[in-house]
Amino acid sequence: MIMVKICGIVFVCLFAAIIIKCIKPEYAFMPVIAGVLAIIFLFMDGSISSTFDAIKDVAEETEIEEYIAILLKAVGISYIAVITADICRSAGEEMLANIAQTAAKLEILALCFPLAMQLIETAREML
Amino acid sequence: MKRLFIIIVILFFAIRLAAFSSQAIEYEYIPDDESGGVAKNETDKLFESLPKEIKDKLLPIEDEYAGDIAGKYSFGFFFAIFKEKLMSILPDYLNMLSVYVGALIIISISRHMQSSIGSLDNEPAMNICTSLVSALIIGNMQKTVLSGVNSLLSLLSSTMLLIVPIMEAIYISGGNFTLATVSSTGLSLMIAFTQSLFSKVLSPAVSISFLLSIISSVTGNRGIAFLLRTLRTIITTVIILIMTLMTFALTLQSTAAAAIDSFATRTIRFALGSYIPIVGGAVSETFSLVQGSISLIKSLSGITGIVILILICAGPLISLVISRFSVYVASNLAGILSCDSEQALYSEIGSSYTLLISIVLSSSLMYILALAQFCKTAISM
Repeated sequence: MIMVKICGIVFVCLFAAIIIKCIKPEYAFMPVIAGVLAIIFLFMDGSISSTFDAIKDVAEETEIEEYIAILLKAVGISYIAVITADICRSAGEEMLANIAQTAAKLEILALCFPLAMQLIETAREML
Repeated sequence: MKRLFIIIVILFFAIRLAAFSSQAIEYEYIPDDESGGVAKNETDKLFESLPKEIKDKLLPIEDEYAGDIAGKYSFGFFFAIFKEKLMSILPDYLNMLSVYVGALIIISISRHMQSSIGSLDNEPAMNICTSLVSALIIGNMQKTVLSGVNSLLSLLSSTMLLIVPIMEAIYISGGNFTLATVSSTGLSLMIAFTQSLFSKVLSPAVSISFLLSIISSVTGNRGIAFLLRTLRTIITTVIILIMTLMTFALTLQSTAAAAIDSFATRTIRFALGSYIPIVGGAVSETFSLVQGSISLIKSLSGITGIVILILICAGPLISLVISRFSVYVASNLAGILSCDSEQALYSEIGSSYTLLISIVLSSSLMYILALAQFCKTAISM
């Protein structure tokens, strides 16, 4: 059912963007941003959250939730960065899109740092 | 690069081998040994040092006689022990398998989520994150396994060190002074050397092998596979060489010493029978009877020693085999889920497990062979 809602939002935003483009082309990206945000919130409320809950349950049962939380955070950062960069690109701001992607990369690498330290500690204990 | 690595590895082994000292405990002759009381005290010490679960499974020392041993330590006894160990260990290792499977499923989902975005910009950073997570999950599991193997090896050698004085005392009770000196010195040297070799060279080498597999998975550098192969070949060669040399030397020494003692015993028996008038023949026969009963005690003690070693090794060995199986299942599952780097990692870890199994098997087999040699010389006397 969520997919029908998403398609509805996509079509409404598309028509709005086409109409606005004819009247005021500089505001044409506004309905696109509104559409993207609406779809994200719809997802967060629906299937994605239940999928994340299921993954969390598996991680808790296998006692590796600490690592899996970091992994899911990294996936989330990656998604947010890609969506933000795409919005920036559709608004014609390539520079902002690149900055968003770079910030995401740095954020993911910063998340990896404690993991790398733990790996070094594990290696030390093994030897 | 290859040559340089091989030279470095050989130098590492040479330095490690040169760094540890293997000192055999020289046997000192104490006249009281001949009374047989020393053997009893040493046996008590050995039984006290054993873990309770092993002690409970053995026959009480007082009731130890051939009929009981033959009846109790049968195929059914060992089968029951292995079954019991398997049943007690299996839940923990199924939990280990569930961790592997759970982690693989989640990593596969995250990889698919990443690839579904269609952007290649964040992919390298995401790959590092995923590899680190999978390496940490596997690395944490291996820590427990490695510490378990190390404690097993030290328990094995300490048990063997307690068995050696019993063997000495029994040899001396039977008048085999040469054999007592030769076999106790040889065995002590073998235990000290193998213990040092396994704990200071081979175990660290297997740990390095585990770490190289993990590093190879995190960095994505498949060139490390060559280093791993070389390391494994060297470890296998060292194990085979040491096993062959030690077993050969021990068998040779024991056989030669047994021949000397046998000659001395026959001479004494002949002298008693020929030169002492009237009672000489009877004394000679009694001497033969005592020799025979001591020979029986030797073989029974040897069998008990072998049973103790099997009981010590059974649990850890079954755990290692199940762990190897879990890793094998995880490796195949990673292949099904298209996690190529995880599949390579699990398969490398699996090879390191095979090495660990061979280390445990070879050390325990070497000790069992030494005890079997003890029984064999006892029977052939």
